[in-house]
Amino acid sequence: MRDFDVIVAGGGCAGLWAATVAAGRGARTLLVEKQNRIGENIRCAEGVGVMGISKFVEMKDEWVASAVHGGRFCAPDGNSVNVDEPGCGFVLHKDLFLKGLADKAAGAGVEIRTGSEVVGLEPVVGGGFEVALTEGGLRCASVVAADGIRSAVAGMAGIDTHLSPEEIFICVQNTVSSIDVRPDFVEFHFGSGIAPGGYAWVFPKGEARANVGLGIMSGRAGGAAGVRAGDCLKAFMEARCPGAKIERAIAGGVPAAKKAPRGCYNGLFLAGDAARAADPVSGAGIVPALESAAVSGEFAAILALGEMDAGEVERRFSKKYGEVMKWRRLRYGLRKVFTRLSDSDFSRVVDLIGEYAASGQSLQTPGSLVKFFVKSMPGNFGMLRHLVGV
Amino acid sequence: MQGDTQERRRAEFACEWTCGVCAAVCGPRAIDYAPGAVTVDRDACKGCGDCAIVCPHGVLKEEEVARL
Repeated sequence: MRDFDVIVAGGGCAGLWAATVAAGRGARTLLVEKQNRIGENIRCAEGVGVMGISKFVEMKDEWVASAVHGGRFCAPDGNSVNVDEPGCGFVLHKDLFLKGLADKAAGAGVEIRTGSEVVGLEPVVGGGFEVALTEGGLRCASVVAADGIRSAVAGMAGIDTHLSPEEIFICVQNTVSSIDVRPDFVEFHFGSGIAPGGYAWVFPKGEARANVGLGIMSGRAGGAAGVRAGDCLKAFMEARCPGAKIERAIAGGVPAAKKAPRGCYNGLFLAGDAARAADPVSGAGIVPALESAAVSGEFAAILALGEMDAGEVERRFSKKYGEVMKWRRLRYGLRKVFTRLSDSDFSRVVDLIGEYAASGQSLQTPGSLVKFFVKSMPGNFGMLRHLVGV
Repeated sequence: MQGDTQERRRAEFACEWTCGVCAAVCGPRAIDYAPGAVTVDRDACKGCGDCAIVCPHGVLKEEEVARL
């Protein structure tokens, strides 16, 4: 006798969306979140593009800290270019966004338990799982592990989800006030002296408030050996916004893995960071989390409701999931190129972004932008030629 | 290193960040983290030092992890 059809571990974007999709297909769905409330202890830069997010939700004003209408790209040589992209994105109040997703999930029939955690997972003979929660055991047919980059739940199932130091962006961020920042422009800063192997960002959160952060790669992956992300951020803050007041400081890892795990293991499905769904170039995770969760939630429900046998679920899941995740191939290739660029190369890239935008093209069509890079800097970007059809 | 309990073979490091980057790169899953501390299971730790390489704030240091 099962207590739920689907149990989802993790109340972030991926977990909430997977649960919503599963419940929307008619599966009795439980979501457990170990924090005491949805939206607590968020580690995120909170930026999201319109084109991606609009495939999933209609944005509400209360979720938006800043509407983004362009970006400023700052080169290692001190030059910068401003690119206008009206209505291209948002910086979120991620806590309110997640609460909105939780409301949507509850509206779809999902039971949400906060302060509850999966502490054990045992497959049941004949299919399904005995899930040990902090408050007791439950039976279900499918489990979605959306419990973050380390995924304890995947670990309980014996799935090796560890990342090598080469496969992770090491990120730190301060939310600050009293900063001189355009409220409608995001900033990206490049250079080995700022963020080796990565970049720094300033994402406005209203007037004179912003998320100021950076992500670096370790020395083994094109970064600088022995350099700490925390020290880099301190130096960046001193240069960019010396008078800013730090309201909140966070750190975290973003997966930048070449290969995503297959995502479906005998009734256990992965989603979000647990599925390595983040963009390996930018580190953006919200939309990739929703994309992976949509497939995982759908097939978790299909399996639980007996609409297909387990073998067919695995086959169809793999096909659909592969389609959703195929963009990663180009993005990972791009990441490889970026980690090999010198500071002077990055300065040239920033110039090219300016030229590309001045020609009237949008940065929201990344395939076309990469083509432009391939043609303009073939020595650096030529390896991507086959991926963009140049 | 803040504490070392022999009977549990665990080493504890004071950490205010709870970011879990160290745990994410730990193959043998020897690391647990909770508000205020990172705990390394010394029996499971292989001493590879990957956790120290990625630690954003230098809470875990390669020379200390290597001694585990």
